[in-house]
Amino acid sequence: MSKDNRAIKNETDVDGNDEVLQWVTFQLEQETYGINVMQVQEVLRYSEIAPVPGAPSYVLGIINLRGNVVTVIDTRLRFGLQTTEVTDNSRIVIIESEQQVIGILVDSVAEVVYLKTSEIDSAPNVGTDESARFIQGVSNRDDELLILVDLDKMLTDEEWDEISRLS
Amino acid sequence: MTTKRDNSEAAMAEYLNALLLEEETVEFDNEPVKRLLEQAAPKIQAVAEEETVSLNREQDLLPLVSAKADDSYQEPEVETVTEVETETVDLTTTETDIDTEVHTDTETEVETEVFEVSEPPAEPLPDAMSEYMEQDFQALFFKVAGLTLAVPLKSLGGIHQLGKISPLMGKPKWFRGIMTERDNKLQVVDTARWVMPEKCTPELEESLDYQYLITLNDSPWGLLCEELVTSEPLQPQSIQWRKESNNKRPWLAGVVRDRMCALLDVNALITLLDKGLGHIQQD
Repeated sequence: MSKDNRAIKNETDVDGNDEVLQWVTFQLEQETYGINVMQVQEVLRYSEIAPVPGAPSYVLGIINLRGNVVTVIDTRLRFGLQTTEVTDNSRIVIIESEQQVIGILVDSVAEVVYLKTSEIDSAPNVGTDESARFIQGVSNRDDELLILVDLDKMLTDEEWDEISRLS
Repeated sequence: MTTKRDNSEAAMAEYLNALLLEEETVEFDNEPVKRLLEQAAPKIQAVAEEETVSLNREQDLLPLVSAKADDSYQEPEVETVTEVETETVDLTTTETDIDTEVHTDTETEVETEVFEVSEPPAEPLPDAMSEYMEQDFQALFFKVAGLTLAVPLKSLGGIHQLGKISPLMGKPKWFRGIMTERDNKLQVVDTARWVMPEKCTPELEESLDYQYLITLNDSPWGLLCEELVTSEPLQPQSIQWRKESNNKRPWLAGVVRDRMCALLDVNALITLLDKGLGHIQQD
């Protein structure tokens, strides 16, 4: 099965129509976001991130992950949020996008949730900003809104190329 | 000596007339509006108390407000329009030298790859306003940043007490985010920012104290409001209806003459919001 298919189809329910997807949820600024579990390699406690001189503003720096250099993205900046102090709950989520492996710094990681495709709605199509493209959909979860993020769209092709040269 | 209330009414009249008129070459003196907004922003509650509310607010409006904990809650019945004989209404207006401000919103639609659900309607919704032009109807009056707006009750989806709003990245400033309520995802519009973005100074925005979300028809869109004023019947002749040629602000159905407040064309508003458009359409 190709990586794309794996990312889209985790599990199919009995009637085969309403796919069930698993999402790793994390928090940023009191909001809960979800990323497809198939894209998540691992979740790390915060460790020192080495800044890279001349790196784009959305890059926090690099970490050494068992001998591999992984670029860490400033998720708050990318999502248009204020930066904040790192806490004990802060985590670096290592993800495998279509392009490469990167880390994203988040305020905390919550849980893995199961969502049927039918439980996912599109976000209002009123975005004017590039960042509007990150949103793959939205869903209700225990009376809270879960914002599903398309990680592959978090960076443009040029930006993916740019960070590939950092690591 | 003119009172503060006279000034407010004069300013509001100018502002609303400016909204209705489409002349391109005249100037709009917005000083009274500025003064009004300066006065109104910190004193919205005080101004509201000056108004005579003809109906008992709790009795009339609270049934419309959704009770979060009550799962058996049903949408309020608002089918209270009385049939009357239609009559020709003289819509001649006194056109004054007021310009409509040029607004340069350049909001464009961004394609997003999403799941195949609930695509916004491509076609404009049918014009319900023609019905209101022919017979009496009940309207809800509400306030935002000192501006009173009216909306036909029949065109309301409901009134919700404000809960947590989850912002979405990359959206226009007038789109506050999504409020979840009983499995519904309500799309929250910052009414002041949408209706009069040019008047939304940081000070005014800070003073806004939104309390309710008024949802529009069967759509997920809702307008934030600071205060529910009243609901009362309106006669078609009491409204200065929008001219057919007014394509710039299709959301503006007309102006309620007595109250000098804008009457919203809900379906047109929904169509604009679905398209992610601002309050003024460029020619």
